[in-house]
Amino acid sequence: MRQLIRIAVEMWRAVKFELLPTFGSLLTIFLAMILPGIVWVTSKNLSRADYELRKNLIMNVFLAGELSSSRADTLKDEFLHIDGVTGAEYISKDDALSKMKARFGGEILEGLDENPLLSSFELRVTEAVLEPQAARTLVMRLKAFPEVDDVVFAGELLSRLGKILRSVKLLGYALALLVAFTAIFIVANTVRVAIADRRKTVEIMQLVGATRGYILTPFVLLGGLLGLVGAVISIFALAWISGYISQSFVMINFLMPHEIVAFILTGLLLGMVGAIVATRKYLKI
Amino acid sequence: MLVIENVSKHYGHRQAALTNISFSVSKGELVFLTGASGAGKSTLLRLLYLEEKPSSGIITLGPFDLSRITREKIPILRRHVGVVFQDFRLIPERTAAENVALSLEVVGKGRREIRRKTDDALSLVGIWQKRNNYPHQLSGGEAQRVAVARAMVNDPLVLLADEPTGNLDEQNTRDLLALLRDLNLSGATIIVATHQVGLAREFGKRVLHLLSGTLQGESR
Repeated sequence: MRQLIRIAVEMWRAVKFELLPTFGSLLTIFLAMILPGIVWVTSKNLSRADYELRKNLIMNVFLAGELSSSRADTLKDEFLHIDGVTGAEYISKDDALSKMKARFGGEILEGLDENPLLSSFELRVTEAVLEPQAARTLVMRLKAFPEVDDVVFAGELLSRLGKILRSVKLLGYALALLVAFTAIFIVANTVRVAIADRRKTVEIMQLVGATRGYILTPFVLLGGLLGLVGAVISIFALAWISGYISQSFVMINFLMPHEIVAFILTGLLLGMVGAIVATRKYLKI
Repeated sequence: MLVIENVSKHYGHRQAALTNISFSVSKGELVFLTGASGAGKSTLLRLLYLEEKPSSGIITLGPFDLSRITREKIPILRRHVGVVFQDFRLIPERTAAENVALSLEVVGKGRREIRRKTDDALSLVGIWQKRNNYPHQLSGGEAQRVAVARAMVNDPLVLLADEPTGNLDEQNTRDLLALLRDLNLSGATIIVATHQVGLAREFGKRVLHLLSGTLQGESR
């Protein structure tokens, strides 16, 4: 406890004449850390969307007219025998209407004399169909059936989403690396200034027999604290931005508690590494 | 207790700062090291508290072989060597008592012991009543007494004083030297480096003369 108080006092002494630069460093760390944070949250949400879409890969096969139930059954069997199709469900015009009513409310189709919707098959397909060539082949095969009017598939959207996701992740890694170096550099500079300010005190401590650890621990912890506080402020800012986007535009998932802890610990670690880099040069005899 | 054998110190290819210095100091001795500026007095003292290492030769201080000591052990040695400088070297944001306590804090003493020993050391140098003053609130003589208290508080093997009176007026100089003599009478081993040969001789103690980094002889 006594040691902790001593370290806290030494940390305060190290920054009390450098409050403005220290605050500046904190702000820079916060700004530096919020960027990869944004990329992380974005990539996490894109991944989730991608996963959801891949889990339910649906191809809508619209039919020219209503089918008898026996024809619907045989067509279903024929579809199920096609490579890449794992499930098939017949949606009659009435089914489509009730689905639409359930989704958008009854009023939407009021005033219409007859049901304008088409009967269709919802085909569950494998991920292999995401390949543009495979998708084209499957669509051609389906269109060859005389009953089929049109085929709609979101595969292209998905493969585009996949590409975006890969780019975002790559950007995230690059940013994280850049931020790691930036944070280390900022903290190292702040701590270097703090040590230079206290050069005389550090020399006197050495003179009376203080060990490297005794002298440097407050500075290393100061670096860690800068990184930690910077990361905490970034998390708050990220949470606020996520909340704002969720309320105003689209629901997005924020980081899980363990991810928040990892983010903050990363800040702490980067700060300590920066401080160690700054203190390494000192106290050589 | 302190043995210096054939010690030399040189920096690169420049002229040697010290050449073949040999002498020894017994426990409880008060020794003056005299010589003009640049004679090598401060260099010799720096070798004794390991601010620098000798280029050659052997130095032993009590149980420590200073020529072979590892970097990790240097703080341990320094806890057994008290040093006083011309410019006092007190920490400005600490009070007199806190400056003295620092020597005890770094060795991990308990709060009560720190308090007691700090008070004792400040009383010993006659400045206890100013224990809560900051260095800028002390006169030169008072600040130097605090520095002596800090150097003595751990009962060092030797007290090294490098031009301790350099920043003091005549009265404070005499007072400080009287303090050092009292400490010596009570058993402290002390080496004082000074360019004031006359002042050193007044004490009737051993005086070593340095000239251009070589030991020219000794007198009383």
